[in-house]
Formats: sequence, structure tokens, C-alpha cells
Amino acid sequence: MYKSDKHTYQQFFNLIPEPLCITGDDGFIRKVNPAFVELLGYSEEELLKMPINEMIHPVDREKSLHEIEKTFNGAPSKGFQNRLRRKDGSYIWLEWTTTPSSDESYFYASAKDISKRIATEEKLRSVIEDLETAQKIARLGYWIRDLQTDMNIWSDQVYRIYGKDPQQFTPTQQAVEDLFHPDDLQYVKLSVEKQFRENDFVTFEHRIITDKGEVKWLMERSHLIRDDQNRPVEMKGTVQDITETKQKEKELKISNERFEIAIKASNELIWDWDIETDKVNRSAGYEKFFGHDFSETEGSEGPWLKIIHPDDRESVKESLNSLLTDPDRKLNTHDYRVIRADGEIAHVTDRAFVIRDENGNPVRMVGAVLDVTKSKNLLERIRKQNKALKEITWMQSHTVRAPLSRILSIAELLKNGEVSNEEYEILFESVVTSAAELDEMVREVAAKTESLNRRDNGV
Amino acid sequence: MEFEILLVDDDSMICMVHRLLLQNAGIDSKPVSKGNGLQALRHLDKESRNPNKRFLIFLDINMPVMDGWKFLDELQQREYKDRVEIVMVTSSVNMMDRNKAESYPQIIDYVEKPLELESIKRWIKDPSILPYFS
Repeated sequence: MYKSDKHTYQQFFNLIPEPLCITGDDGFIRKVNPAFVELLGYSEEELLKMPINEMIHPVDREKSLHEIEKTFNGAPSKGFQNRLRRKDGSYIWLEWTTTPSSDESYFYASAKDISKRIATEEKLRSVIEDLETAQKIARLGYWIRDLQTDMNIWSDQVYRIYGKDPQQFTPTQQAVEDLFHPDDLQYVKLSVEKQFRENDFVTFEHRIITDKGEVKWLMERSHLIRDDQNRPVEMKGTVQDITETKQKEKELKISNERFEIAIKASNELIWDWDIETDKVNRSAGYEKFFGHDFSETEGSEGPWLKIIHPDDRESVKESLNSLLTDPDRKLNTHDYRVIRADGEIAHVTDRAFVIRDENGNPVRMVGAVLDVTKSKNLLERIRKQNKALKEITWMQSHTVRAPLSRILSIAELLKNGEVSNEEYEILFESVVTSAAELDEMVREVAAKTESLNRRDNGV
Repeated sequence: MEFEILLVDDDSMICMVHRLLLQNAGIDSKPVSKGNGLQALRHLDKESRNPNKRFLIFLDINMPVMDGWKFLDELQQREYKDRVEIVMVTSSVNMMDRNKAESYPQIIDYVEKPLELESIKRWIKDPSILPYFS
């Protein structure tokens, strides 16, 4: 019977798919089953000749010997984990269940291969670490809100964002809303309600004021969770600190506004020509520039070219072409005329700057058009005035000189010479008429000057 | 040798005053007055047929029909041009006119109106001018 029993146990021992071994108090394995042999890759003979601690991973050796000692002292154990070296040199993670023999001279052990589980755990741990790092970089926090109790659970990052100590602050919904910027609270509530009517995912931005008085911009993404009766039970979400982005947006906006105000004030109209796609973008002022509508993006042959005075159109094209084809040139200034929507002619100075790629090929051209009509007209008026002034000067030097030199000549004659009575009469008469002539001319000059003054005052 | 003085000015009063001035300065003959360059040129073309005749001309610049400059250019084409001395008498006060006048070989002086007795006394010292006043 015993023999038969022993034979039965032997058969069981060999059949059990779990790796089993019996180890003696000398540190050698006494017996192994085929599953154990298969697990480690050594032959049964090799296993029986090898002290067990030689197979244990050096790191795990001390705690393993300690565990074996405990087992020999009569304590069965379950769940101990260590690594054994396989014949191919690789290590395998095992979880042990051990029990000592009644005389405590050997113990039974069953091993379970947990290598896959350990590997998965390690992988998961590294994923979680990566995720936590990513959250820190993105300043992303997680929160869950129970809609029954209106209680929030925050991740550490949410506490950091709100500047709160997890030991001291309890994030009830009321306490959280108290931290919201008062101007944003009502808007956020309405916006979230509205969005949840259409979708279970909502996104919104709002400001908070921390205890230090610091204003932060937060970006929230929330997900509404429903039970199997489709009733909302909780909300989950992420929160991100976007204060820096907002600050940059604001700075950019201010800078853009300043630029646009500058453009409006300076009468300059900025254009930007993408040469590859042949698209021209023009600054806002163009929409009403010269009464034409330029709000549409257009090509270089677009509506701008059409409002250029026909006599100037070719020279404008040539001027741009010469700038495009000469790789040594960057800047070009060209004066030309455009025809306003009301038919009047406006004078402009167009300055173009070309941007080239590393091979010197033009890729973009940016320019500024300045309306110089006023100064042109002013110049024209000055030119006309100069002409009038020249006329006055000519009249003075030539016409006025004639009667004057006549009088002077007569004076010269009478000072030095002798004339007859008859001649004297003639000379005297000439002085009188010459003086009258001069008088009339002086009046004429005065009249011309007066008319110049009137023109100057815009009358 | 005969010497004739020619006064060329569109202002007849100037011509008269200049004539009286020259007479007071002691000229020999009665000067001839002409109203513009063309009249003066016609007179000279006729009078110069006498090869023993020399001319002293008081020439204005701004005149109708033919001005002083055109007259000078025309004169350069004439065979008698070397028997002519010219004093430019002008109301112009332009330096360019003065420089232009000095480029003609017949010009002995360039004065602005009024013509002064002092100037006449200066020219008389010139041996080629003196015979007109003896």
C-alpha cells in the first residue's frame, strides 16, 4: 500500500505542471519534477549537483537564504519572490510556496513563473513615470468631482496649480469656485451648462486668484460620466496652467494693435507678397484705401495693379522685376500714381523689400505704400508760387529798370551838361511820364503779391 | 578817315539823352539813333560802303525785332566788322550778360544805364576812340 502510495505520489509529482522541487538542509536540491527541469533548462543531474544558492540572483541571494532558513524553522511561506539563473544565463522571476518536512531536514517548494507579470509591472511603472513627468511639464492636473456630494479629488498637480497644501485644503466645489476669478465664475457656469446640453466633453478657460493674489489662466477639459440610467454621476477632467501662453497672446495682441495704429497714423499701407504662391496680403487700411476695396487676397497681377495709372503701370512692373532679378539688391523705392475710386489721382511712394532663400532666390516681398499726394500738391503749389515770384523779379529787373534808368540818365545829363530850353522841356516831360510808368508797375507788383497771398491762404 | 557814332536803343528818350551827353562831352559829328538791331544793321550795311568810315556803337540789349545779341551775331558775318567799336549799354544787371558780351571782339566796354560822363571821359583816352571826339 505504502509502496503503491509512494508510486502514486511519484506519478503526481511528475505530472503536476507546476515546477516543484525538494531541497535539503545541505543546500542541495534532492528532487525536481519535469516542469522544474523545463523551467530552468538544466538537466536533472546538473540540478542535483548544484548548490541552490549558486542559481539565485546575487541581489536576491541574502534574502533568499534568510527565507530558506525561516522555512527550515518550521514556517510554511507563500508569495516569496526571487530570481533564478537559467542554464542559458538568463534570470527568471519566480514566486514560491514552501513547506518544511516534518523532521525539518528538507522542504518542499513549488515555483510559479512571474517573469511576464514583473515585466508588465515594470513597463507600467515606467509608463506612469513618463506620464507624471509629462504632466509636470505640461502642468496638467487631474480631478474628479462627485456630483452627489460636490466633492473634488485632486491630483498633486492640481494642488500645485491652485497653490494649495493637500494636507490643509479640502477641494469642495464651493471652495474651488471661491478661488475662481469673480468676473469668470458666472460665465464659466453658463458656458459649461450650455456645452453639456450638447456634448459630454467640454473645454473652457478661466482665471483663478491664488492666496498670494496671483492671477492664473487655466484651461479645463471636462468629461461628464453617466450611470446606466444615463444620469450624470461624476465629472472628470484635466486642468492646465496656460498663464504664460495667455500673457504671450496678450503681448502679441498689444504689439499688433500698436502696429496697426502706427500704420493708420502714418498713412502707410503694408503689403506682403508670397512670390511662390503669388498671393498678396495687404494691411487693414487697404480695405478703404483710395476708395477701392482690397479686402480679398490677390495675386501680383490683381486689383492693385489695375488702379495704378496706366502710364506708370509698366514702370512699376519693371521696377519690381529688376529688384527680383538682381540678387545684390534688397530695397527699391518707386514713385507712381494711382487712380482713386472717385477718379482723382493720388501720388504714392512704394518701398519694397525682398526676402531671399539661401540660394538667393526671392521668396517674399514686403512693402509699404505711402500716400504722398499732399506733399506732391504742396510742391506743385510751391513751384507755381516760385514761377509767380520769378515773374515779379523779371518785371522788376527789366521793366522797372527801363523808366528808372531813363530818369537816372536824364539826371546824369542835367548834372553835368548843358541843354537848350526846348530839350529841357522834353526831358522834364520824360521824367514825369517815366515816374508815372514806375508808379503803375509798383502797383502791379503789389497786386501780384496780393494774389499770391490769397492763393497761399487757399482762397 | 570818317568816324560815325551810332546810338541803338528802342527807348527814344534814352537815345536823346545819350546824344546830349555825348555832345556835352564834345563829339565831332551828330550821332545817328536807331530803334533796334535790324535798323542799325541796315544803316551800317549802307554806310560801310565807304571803306574809310569807322563806327562807334552804343548798343542796348533788350530791344524788339532784333535784340543786341542777335545784332552782334549778324555783325560777325559782315566784312566791315573790324571797323566797328561797341559799348554795351544795358539796364540788365546780370553777370552772365557781362561775360557773354566780353566774348565779342568789338566790345570795348560794358556799362549799365545810366551812361555817365565819367565813363565817356575814360573811353576818350583810348586812341581808337579819341578820333570820334576831336
